[in-house]
Amino acid sequence: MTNKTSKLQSTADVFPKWEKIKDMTDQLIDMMLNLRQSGHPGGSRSKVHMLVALFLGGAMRWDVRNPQKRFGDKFILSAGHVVPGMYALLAVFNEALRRKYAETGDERYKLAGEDRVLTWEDLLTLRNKGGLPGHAEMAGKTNIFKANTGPSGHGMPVAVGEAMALKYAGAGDVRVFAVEGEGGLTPGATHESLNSAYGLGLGNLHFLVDWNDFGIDNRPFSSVVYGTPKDWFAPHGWRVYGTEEGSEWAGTHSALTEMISDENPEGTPAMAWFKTRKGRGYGVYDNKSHGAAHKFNSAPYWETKKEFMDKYSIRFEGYNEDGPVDKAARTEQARVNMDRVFQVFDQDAELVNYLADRLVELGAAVPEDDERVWIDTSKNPLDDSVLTDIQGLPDELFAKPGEVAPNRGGFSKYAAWLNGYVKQNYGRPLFLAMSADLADSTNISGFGKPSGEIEGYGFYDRDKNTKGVMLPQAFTEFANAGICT
Amino acid sequence: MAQDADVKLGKVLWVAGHSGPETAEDSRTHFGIYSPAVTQLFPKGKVINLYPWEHNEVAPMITAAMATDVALIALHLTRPGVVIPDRKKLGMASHFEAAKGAYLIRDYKSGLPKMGTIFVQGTATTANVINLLPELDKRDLNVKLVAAVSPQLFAMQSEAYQQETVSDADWLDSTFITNASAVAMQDWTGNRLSVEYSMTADWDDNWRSGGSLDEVLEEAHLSERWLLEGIERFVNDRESRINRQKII
Ligand SMILES: Cc1ncc(C[n+]2csc(CCOP(=O)(O)OP(=O)(O)O)c2C)c(N)n1
Ligand SMILES: [Mg+2]
Repeated sequence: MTNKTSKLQSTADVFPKWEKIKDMTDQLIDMMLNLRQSGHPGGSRSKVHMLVALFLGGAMRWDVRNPQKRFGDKFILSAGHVVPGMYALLAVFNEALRRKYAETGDERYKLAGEDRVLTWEDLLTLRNKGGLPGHAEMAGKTNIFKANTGPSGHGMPVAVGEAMALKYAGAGDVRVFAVEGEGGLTPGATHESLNSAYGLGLGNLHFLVDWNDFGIDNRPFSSVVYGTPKDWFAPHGWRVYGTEEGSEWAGTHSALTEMISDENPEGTPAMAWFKTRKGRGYGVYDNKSHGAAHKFNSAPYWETKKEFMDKYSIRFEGYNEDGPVDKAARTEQARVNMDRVFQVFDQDAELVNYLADRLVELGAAVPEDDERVWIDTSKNPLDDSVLTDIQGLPDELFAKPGEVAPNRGGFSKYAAWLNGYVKQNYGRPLFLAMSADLADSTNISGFGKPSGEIEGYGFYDRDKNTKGVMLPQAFTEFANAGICT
Repeated sequence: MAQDADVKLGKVLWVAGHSGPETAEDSRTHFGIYSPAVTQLFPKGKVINLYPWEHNEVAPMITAAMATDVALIALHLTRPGVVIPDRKKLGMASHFEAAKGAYLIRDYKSGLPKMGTIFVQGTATTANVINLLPELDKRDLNVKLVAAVSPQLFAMQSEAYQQETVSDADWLDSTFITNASAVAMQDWTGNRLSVEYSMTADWDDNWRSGGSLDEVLEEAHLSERWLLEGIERFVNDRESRINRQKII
C-alpha cells in the first residue's frame, strides 16, 4: 500500500484554488435551494471548507470516478441534511473532469455512465422525485455515501460498523470518515458509538465535527450541552484534533493532516472538530440559516450572489429581479446561472487542470489490493448447499425427546456448527455477533464456540484476538443495530 | 440493506432473546408481549420472522431462512427449557417441518365434525397445548392445531402444502394462541372473529406483570386450564361464529 501521507497536499499553493472551489460550491448550494425553496443552507455552507480539505487534501484516498472501489476510503455524511453541500461539491469536481476529458480525450478523466455521475445539471432536480434526494442516500449518483442518513447522529454506529468490517477483514488501512454537527452528537447513539469504537480498536475511524453550535431551535447548543468536542470525545479514549478556524484553509487542512499522520500504535479512533459559523456567507446565521432558503429571488438571496459576482466579474441572469413565476422559467434561469458559476473554470484553466489532475491522482492512489485481507471473498459461503440443506443438519444439533432444553440452547449449537463449518471450508467465519453484554445469556456466543474438533473464533479482542467473532460490546443495543447494517 | 442501494450484501440475524412472558422472573421491564412485533414492521419480502417454540426447530428454521434471498432474519427465542416432545408418538410433524413455517400439531380426527383450526405460537403456549392433547381427545374437541412458527416461510411453500396445512375454509374457521399479543399475530388472523376467540397474553388489553413462569402464564390466561377453556369456547360457539361471518 502507499505510504499513508504521501498523497497529502502540500499546502499554501493550493489554498487559492480551494478558495475558488469553495466559492463555486457556495453558489451552487444557494442556487439549488433558491430554485427548490427547500433544503438546508446553513449547515451545508459551514461544512464546505472541511469537505474541500477532506476530499482534496489527501487525508481521504478516494476515487470520484468510482466511489465503489474496494480499498477506497469510505465516507458517511452522518449529518445527512446537509447533503446539498455535497451535491454542489461533487458537481464542481465532476465538471472539472468532464471538461478535461472533453478537451483531451484522456481516459483518465473519463467519468462513469450518466446514471452514476452527479453533474451540475442534476442540482436542478433537488428534492424532486427521481432527482437528488433531500437527505443522503447511498445509490446511483451518490455512492460516495456509504449509508443512507438523515436522522441526526445515526450515521455514527454505521461508521463504527463499517470501520470494524474493514479492520476485521484485514483492510484496516482503509479509513472511514464521518461528518456530523455538534447537535447530531447529542443523541444517545453517540455515546454508544464512542465507546464501541474505542473498545473495538478502530484506528481507521475518523470523525469530523462541524462545531457551529446551532441546530434548529433558537439557542446555542452550548447553553444546554456542557463542554467542547474535546470533552465529548477524549474521555472515551479518542484522539482529538481541531481548529478554531474551521472556515480557513490552514487550520482545517492541518487538523485533518495531523489526524491521519500521527502515529497511532494503540489503534484508537480519532476526531477532528472545526469551529465554524452556521450560515457562513448566507446572510442569515446560526439556527436561522438551518432549514429554510431565502425566498425565491428575494433581495437577501441576491445579496448572497453579489460578492461572487464582483469577485469573478460574472453577472447572474435576473439579478435583483424577483421573477419569473413559472416553474419552467425558474428552472431555466437556475440552469443559466449555474452554468455561469462555471465561468470561473473558463477564466482559470489552471484551476481546471489542478482539480482534474488532483482527483485523478487521488483516485490512482487508492490501492488495488491488500495482501493482509484474509477473508476470501471470491467464494460466498451463502452459496454452499450444505448451509441450506435442512435434512442434512448434523444430529448433534438436536435434543432427544424427553430432554428438557431451551430453544436458545438449540440456537447456540447451530451457531457454533455454522461458523465452524464455514471456518473449516472457507477459512473464515460467516457471522460476527454482538449483543449488549449478553453474549452467553442470549446464546449468540455460540458463534464463537468450538464445533467438534474445530476451534471456535472466540471473543474479539482488539489486541489479542482480532479474528474473534463475538464482539465484546457493552450495553450498546442502539449502536449494535447500526453497526450490523 | 437499503431498499434502493446498489450494493446488497450478506445477512443480518436479529435475535430477539428472552422474548415473551417466559421471562416472567425478571418481571415486566424485561420482556415484551407487544414490542417483539416490531420485527414484523417491514415490507413483505424484507424480513423473515422465526418463532421456533422448542430447541430442535431452531436449526432447521434458520437454515430455511438462510436459503432465501431475504437479508434480514428475526429470530425470537425464549428463556426456559421445555420438554422436547416425542413427535412420532404424538403423531406430530417432525421438527424439520418447522422449516416450512407452519405444520400440523394435530389434524382433524375423522369420524367427528370439524370444529375449527387454531394457530399456535410461542414456547410455553405450544408446550401447554401439547400437554392438553389427551384432554382434547377425551372431550371430543376436534380442532386442527397448526404450529405457526414463521408466516414468511409458510408463504414460500407450495400452494398444495399451504392448502393441505391450512385450507381456505380453515382460515375462515380459525383463531390463535400465542405467548405474545394479538397484534403480533396479524399474519395468522384469518377472519374478523379470530381476535375475539384468541388466547393471547394480552387477553385483557394489558401488559403482564412478573413472578414465576407459572404465575405469569396464569395471569396471561395461558396456563393449561385457561387454554382448555378457550378452546372449548371456540368450539362451542362454532355455529354462531360461522353465522356471524355470513355476509348476507
Ligand atoms: C434524531 C433526529 N432528531 C431530530 C432531527 C431533526 N433535525 C434535523 S437537522 C437538526 C439540527 C442539526 O444540527 P447539527 O447536528 O448541529 O447540524 P448542523 O448545525 O451541522 O447543520 C435537527 C434537530 C433529526 N434529523 N434527527
Ligand atoms: Mg450545528
